[in-house]
Amino acid sequence: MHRMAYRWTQDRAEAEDLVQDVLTRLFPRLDELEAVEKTGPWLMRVLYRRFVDLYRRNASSPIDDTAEPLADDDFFAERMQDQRDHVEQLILQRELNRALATIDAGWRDVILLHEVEGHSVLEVADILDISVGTVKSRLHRARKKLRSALESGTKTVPEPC
Amino acid sequence: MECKLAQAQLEQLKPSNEPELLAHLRKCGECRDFAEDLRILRLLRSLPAPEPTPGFEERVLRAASAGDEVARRVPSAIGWKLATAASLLLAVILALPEPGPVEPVPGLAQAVTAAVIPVTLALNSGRDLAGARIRVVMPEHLQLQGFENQRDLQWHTDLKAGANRLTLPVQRRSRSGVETILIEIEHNGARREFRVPVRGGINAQGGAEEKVQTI
Repeated sequence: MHRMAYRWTQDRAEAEDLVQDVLTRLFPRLDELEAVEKTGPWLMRVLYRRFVDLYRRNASSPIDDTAEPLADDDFFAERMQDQRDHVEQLILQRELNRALATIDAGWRDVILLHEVEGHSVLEVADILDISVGTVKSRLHRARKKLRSALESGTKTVPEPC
Repeated sequence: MECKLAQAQLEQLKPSNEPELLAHLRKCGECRDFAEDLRILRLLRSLPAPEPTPGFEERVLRAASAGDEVARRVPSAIGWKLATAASLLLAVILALPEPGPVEPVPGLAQAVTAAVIPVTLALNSGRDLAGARIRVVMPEHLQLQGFENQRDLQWHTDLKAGANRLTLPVQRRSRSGVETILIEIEHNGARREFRVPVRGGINAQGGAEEKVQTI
């Protein structure tokens, strides 16, 4: 849950707050949780709805300047310090993370849930409350968009000194 | 080279591609798109995310238990209980229901020395984990009913894909503040640790103050 919360918020502290908020709210619904057959996608759906309530709806409010999450470059910068042998891979991952931040939120959601977190198309449809056909078409468009975003972005990896 | 073969080779993740494949890619736009999609997919699947900060699980537990006053009945069968449900990626401590004192079994003379606080976990696994090792380390002031002299318990079990319920019959040895139970799950070298804080003491009626905790 924390990992997905981070992918949506792109902020470590916000991700923790979001997970805490969701789990605290789930507390009185433990019976419901126990009856759920596949807990993972169910929790993801609850997390997604809360994320939309807290972040995306606020983002459209005229008195709240909260915007869509930006790519968390600081996280990649830290990892580059820690994993100097994998800098090239991290640069590419950072570019991809930036590209993800530029695409439509609905497309980003399906990519994050399906390609990154490995949920099936059916599960993604259930989590986001959209049809399977919509998931598939968003996936197709998002992949295309990501490809062009990466092609137009900085893909060159600096030569080692 | 045909596109089908070229795409099959691209999926094989070879460190360097065959000259024949490279020649095919130079002239086939469809396979170049396929190769680029594959590269992006592999990159997406490797996207890192930070771990929560230290003490996160404990903070969530405290926040959740502090905000909830719902009393729940103790399940009739107290003890180790593994049913189906969840992943090493996700552990949910479902409930620490308000227990009330455990009913003595009629006909047996022994007294119940301390109320049992059932701590129920749902270990959510994305796949079957055959022969997973579960280790439970009890803190100084808590014990498990039936294992009074053992603070470190380990056993192997098969965890199913989905939620696996585990109920610990916890008893308090003496009054103390927050105590933390360590739970470790290991499968094929992969290991996860969960720390489960248990707070509160035995109240005047012999029941525990603790109710529900969630991670």
